[in-house]
Amino acid sequence: MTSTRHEPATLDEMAATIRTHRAAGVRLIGAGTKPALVGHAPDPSLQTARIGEILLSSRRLTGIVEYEAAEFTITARAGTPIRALDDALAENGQSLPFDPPFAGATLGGAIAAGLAGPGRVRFGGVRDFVLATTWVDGHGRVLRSGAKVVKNAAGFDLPKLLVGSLGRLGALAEVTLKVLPRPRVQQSARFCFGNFTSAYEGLVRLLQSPLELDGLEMVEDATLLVRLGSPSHASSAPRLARLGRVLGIPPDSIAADDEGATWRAMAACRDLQPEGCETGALIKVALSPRRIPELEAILRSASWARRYSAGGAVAWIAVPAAHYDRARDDASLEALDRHLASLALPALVVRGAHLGEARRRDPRLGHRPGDNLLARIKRVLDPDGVLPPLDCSPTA
Amino acid sequence: MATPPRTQPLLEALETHFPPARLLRAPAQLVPYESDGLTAFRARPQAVVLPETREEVIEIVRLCHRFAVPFVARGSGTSLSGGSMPIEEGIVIGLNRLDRILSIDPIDRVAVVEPGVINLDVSEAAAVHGLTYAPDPSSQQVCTIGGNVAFNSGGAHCLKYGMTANHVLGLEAVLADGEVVRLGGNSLEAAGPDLVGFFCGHDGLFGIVLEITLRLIPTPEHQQTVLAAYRSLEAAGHAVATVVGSGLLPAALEIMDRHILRAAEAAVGVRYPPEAAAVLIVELDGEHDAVEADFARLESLMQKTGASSLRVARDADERAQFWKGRKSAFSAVGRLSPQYLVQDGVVPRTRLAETLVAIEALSEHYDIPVANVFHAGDGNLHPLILFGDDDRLAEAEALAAEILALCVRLGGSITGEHGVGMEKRAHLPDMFGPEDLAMMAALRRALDPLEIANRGKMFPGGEAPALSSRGPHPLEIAGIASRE
Repeated sequence: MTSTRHEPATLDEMAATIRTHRAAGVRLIGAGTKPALVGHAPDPSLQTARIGEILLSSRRLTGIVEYEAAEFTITARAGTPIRALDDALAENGQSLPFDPPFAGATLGGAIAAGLAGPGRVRFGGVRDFVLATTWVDGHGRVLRSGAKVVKNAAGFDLPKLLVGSLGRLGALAEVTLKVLPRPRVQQSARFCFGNFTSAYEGLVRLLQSPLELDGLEMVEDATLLVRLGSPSHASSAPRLARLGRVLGIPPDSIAADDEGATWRAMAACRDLQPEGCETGALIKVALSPRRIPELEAILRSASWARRYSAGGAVAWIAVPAAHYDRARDDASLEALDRHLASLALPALVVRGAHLGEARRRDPRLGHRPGDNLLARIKRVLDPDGVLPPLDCSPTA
Repeated sequence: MATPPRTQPLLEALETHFPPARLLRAPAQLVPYESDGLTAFRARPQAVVLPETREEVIEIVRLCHRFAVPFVARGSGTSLSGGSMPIEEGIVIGLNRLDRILSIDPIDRVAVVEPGVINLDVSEAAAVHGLTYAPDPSSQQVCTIGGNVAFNSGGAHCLKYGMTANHVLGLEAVLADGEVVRLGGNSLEAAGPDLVGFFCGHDGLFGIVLEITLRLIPTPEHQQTVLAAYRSLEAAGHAVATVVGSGLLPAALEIMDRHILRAAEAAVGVRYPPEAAAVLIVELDGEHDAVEADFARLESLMQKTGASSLRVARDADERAQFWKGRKSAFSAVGRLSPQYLVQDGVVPRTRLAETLVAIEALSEHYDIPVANVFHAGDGNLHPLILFGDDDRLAEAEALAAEILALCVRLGGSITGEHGVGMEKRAHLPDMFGPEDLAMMAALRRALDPLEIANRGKMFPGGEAPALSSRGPHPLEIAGIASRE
């Protein structure tokens, strides 16, 4: 796979790169806006360029552009690592409310992949916090969409459209996010149920209760991991006790020293793919609590590791790699694709370095609601297919 | 007025589908549809058609596309930006009869509704499950979900819960050329571009939403509501900065100035401290113990803000009283001035105080009173320009334009929650460059090649090319006189 890598340092350079290579009729891969989940050494799964294609990286397009803490908004360039943003926000007692799951990712990658972490259960996902974007479409036009204030109803909501767009509609150069105060005290506990059904019922009970949780994960098959964010230690203890009453079993508290690390591991899916063992495929399924039992039945029979995250809004699935057998790996994914389609659940392959080229170029699995609308949008923003195709219709 | 040539065959086709009771043609029947919440303008459509099923809506849209006749979808007509204003060459599609709540799923915490369902009815239907629908526009007792989606409506509790788009998980819609699309689903998440979010706030230009999957939240079990009076609007503005900066996340943070207070007192009999030049309402909601812990902090913070009085709602009744004046503010202002324009600009929250001072100066300059009621917590202003009678409309619009320009200059937006509609279309280029506007117009044409869906809204210039030879925009003419 011979491809040329371009690393523009400015917005204008980014636009010029797209325009130049567009004129030459060369296809272009927005590497910087694809889910660069493992940071600056891009996951091989993202190296989908064919001979002659250009890889566009936002690696040099970094830095915070505007951040006034009292405004609770932050604007940064797309290549800024999530970790750097988080550090800057932490200094002012703030954080990214959608809890981006992979700290090594870039801002652009996190937005374009549309990935939220366990914390989304409290305040919402990526779509709920993207206020404005500066981006370049397939024509090479520099576009400024949205507004850098927390509320705006002017013009079409292009910033939301770009959430989860995987570099198919444009390359992100700059993003403005709404941020929130970081909870002062966080306390977590495990609730271990004897079986899947009881744990699932517990999850549903918590979702229907007025309890405001900062984290609610269904791990392994019968354990709920719950997080509470409180203004003070004093208010935290009675809330934890109340959780136990709602669930009918006592909490197994997690020590304060381990609390942060436990959730960071969840965010990075270390329970499914331990560090250094990211060889298989990692898949995000957009889910709702009612569908958990159906999906669980399929995953259990396939023996794939899974976790129901963010109160059941997401399932994370790890499909292990069959060593040196790409055909078998692809077959596993195709089986999962069919199952998800039959359940009408949309999904995304987040890691999958070992997969065949077709799957790496089209990381979406299962149900694809609105593809007819998306194809029309693609024809406006990237009519010549300068950016990667949607792979959702023969004409795209 | 003669029926425009293209409309006649459409009306004939509609007559074969709809009985006269659902295809309104007589002038007396059309009058209620001439205007919406932007009362300064009116226009009479050729007809109003009242579908009762989604299939009928799709059929009407396909006929409009076939005969190239513009249509305006309308719910209760509460748009404050003229978003549901009819167009004289076109028809109105009234969606109030598509008012069924199709299902409520307490496990997924979603309600599936038709576009004509009234906002408040969703929460009332969900209450039995301990759930509620969070977006609460002031007009929530009458406004419909279809309109809320088209204009991405907000409300007082947006500060904590977000706008309509944050609560729409799935949609079925008929695009303006008749194709039906299904977007999203029951999940809070997606795998691919956020098409649902993109579709919210389209100002009616993409087509008509047929079915909406709304996210419900557990009804907050506890609230604490504080009403603080201040001797100046600026002091209230500073109090907002104090609360926001503290790291507390109130459900609502609202300011009313003295014009609004007096009007609300007269209209709904709420009593406010007599010395108040401004009142700030702060509401915390959520889990009992968390609210109480936050409330202790809020009280001590508020005591340092120089409030002349501080009242805490003792019970649900008193809380409702605090809100009654706020939610009736727009209608109450009718007592001060029969004619007014409502603005909806947004400024960065840290620039709130200076914005209020600048608006006051503009009010003096134009010698037109401006009342202020606003969602202070997110910097969303609602200056009400009380221009008295029609002959000062042009000046009022000039004053409104200066306020919008100010919001944009400070890095904000021309609209926070009302949408651009007809009223602010001339100001869209203040926020977006020519390439952005061209891109948005191209997206619109990709979904509506004939530009028949809510033609004349959002984009500057009004008329679509096909009709530009027909003279001045009918709405501008209609603004001067209502024609029988």
